[in-house]
Amino acid sequence: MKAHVVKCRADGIEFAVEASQISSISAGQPHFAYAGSHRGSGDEKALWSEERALAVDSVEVLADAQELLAVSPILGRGSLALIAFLEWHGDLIPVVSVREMIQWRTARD
Amino acid sequence: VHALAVKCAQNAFVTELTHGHLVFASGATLVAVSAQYAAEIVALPIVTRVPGAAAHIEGVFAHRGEVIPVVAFERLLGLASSSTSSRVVLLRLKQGSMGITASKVFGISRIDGTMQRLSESGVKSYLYGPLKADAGEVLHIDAPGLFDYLAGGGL
Repeated sequence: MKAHVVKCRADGIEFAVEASQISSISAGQPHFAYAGSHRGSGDEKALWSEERALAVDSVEVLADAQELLAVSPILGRGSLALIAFLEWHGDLIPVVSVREMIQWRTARD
Repeated sequence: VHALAVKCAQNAFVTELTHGHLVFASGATLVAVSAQYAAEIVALPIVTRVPGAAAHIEGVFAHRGEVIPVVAFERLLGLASSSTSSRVVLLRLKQGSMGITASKVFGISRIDGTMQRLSESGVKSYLYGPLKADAGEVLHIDAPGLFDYLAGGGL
């Protein structure tokens, strides 16, 4: 399955989200009201989904649709709300659900 | 009906025993898996850790357009790691693929013995043995059963 994805980094973890799950990407501290107590580099951005935001340290919108690799059922989905993998320059990057990431981070914070 | 089902399962197992098995070591344990499921042996790649995954999941790696989960076999059995794994035995099943860590691969061998589960429940209910192979006493893995067990979150 191919999908447009946005590659991000937050809390030292690289991950990706499907672009279709994001309504907008914004920059600046005022947008982080819903993002919990994330402390980043001061140059954060926010991925918005259904009026909630996920704060990340960096965002890279990949130009082309990417082939997403299925998650084996023996992995489970783990705490990262894993929905697929993206192979990027030889690395495997988890593709996660933005909504579940927000819920997870909110619960954690 | 139950007796017939058990008999069929025993016959299937005996039939499987007569086929070749890939025998490999995972630490101090010798393991045999039906050769029909053993697709490849690959050098242990750099695996990507999966946060939140079960402790026996070493990580994942991409192989021929597929994400392969690597199961640390000794950890799965609750054993301390006794040696460094250098290879992954890649199993392809109709349910999906998985890799099992291996420290040494002995090759294809016949195995002999009687069907005896190590346990009636849990992960060891998918292991049979001890059985005899050229390399010594081995445990036979019911690979499809183990996959289903792990996929069902049995641990």
